[in-house]
Amino acid sequence: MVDIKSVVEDLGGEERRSDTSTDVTFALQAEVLFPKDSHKLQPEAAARIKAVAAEAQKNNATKIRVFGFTDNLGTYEHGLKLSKNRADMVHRELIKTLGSNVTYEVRGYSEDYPIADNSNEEGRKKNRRVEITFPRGAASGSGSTPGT
Amino acid sequence: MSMRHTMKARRALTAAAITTGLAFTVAGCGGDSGGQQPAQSSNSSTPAPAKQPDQKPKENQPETPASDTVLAEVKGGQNHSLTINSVIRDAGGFVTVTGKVRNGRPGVWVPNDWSGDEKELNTNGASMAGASLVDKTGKKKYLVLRDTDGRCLCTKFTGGFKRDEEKTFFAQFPAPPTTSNKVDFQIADMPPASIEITEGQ
Repeated sequence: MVDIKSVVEDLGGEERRSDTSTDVTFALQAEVLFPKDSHKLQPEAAARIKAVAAEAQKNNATKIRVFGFTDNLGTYEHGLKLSKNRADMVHRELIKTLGSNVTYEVRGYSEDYPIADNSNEEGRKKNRRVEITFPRGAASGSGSTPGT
Repeated sequence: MSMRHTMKARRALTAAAITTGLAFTVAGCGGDSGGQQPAQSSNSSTPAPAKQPDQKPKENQPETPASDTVLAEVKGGQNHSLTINSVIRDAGGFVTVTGKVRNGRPGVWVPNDWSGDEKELNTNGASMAGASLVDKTGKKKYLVLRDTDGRCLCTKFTGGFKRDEEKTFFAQFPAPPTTSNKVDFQIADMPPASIEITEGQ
């Protein structure tokens, strides 16, 4: 069934939130979380991931998807490893906040599912991301006006 | 086979229902606003012609021509002009912007790049899909509303623009919080247009 999707981004593009009537997705730019070509979490990243975890709690989410993506530079295999490692690191950070009743699906998708054009750096930057998705909770407030 | 037809029909029906529902939302606005926005057409201090905004719900045309009040106007790109006629926050948590676009090229213009750089939206072609509302205070960008099939809740300029042609548009966005009523409307390489969100009926 077709649904309406609301998308709100930080002005700098570091974080992008999508809401439908069923799901909430936070796309965090890789640059904000990790150094180039690395999956070592930067210190500032913890607070941002913690905030997403808080939103998941607000929505009473018990199933969370953590998916990593890269741009199309480098080999597909390298992208697969990097994106999976990055998703793993974000997952590790999420479980610090969230309880043991939450289950996760953690995957790396390499350069698949780009959201912007890989032919320029601005687009590639958007494609390098980790997405955290969870179902919208019944208890959460007015669906289409997120980020208040 | 028949399953696929049924699915397509259901999706079309749902999309039509959403569009119609939004059409009612859009068409219901633009009247007396109780003086909150002095530029509203119903206020007698406006020298614009006393033409009543079209209040009839138009079934399949969310692009109800707005009042002729000009809330903002910018010129850019290849001398194109973009005019904003209304910016209404409705009860559903959306903001609907209506206005006009005029071709400034000395020939035909097909604004393909106006669909923006999101892959999800690139099937909208020459359209208002690349539009966004920028809240500089809240440091957020509200992208055009779309359905989960990537169709924008906005005008598609099928057929492009003839020389000097002007077309009306609408575009819908998630609503910024009520504390952020002043935003910039941005699309493609046009300069940002400063606008203020007003409450709907």
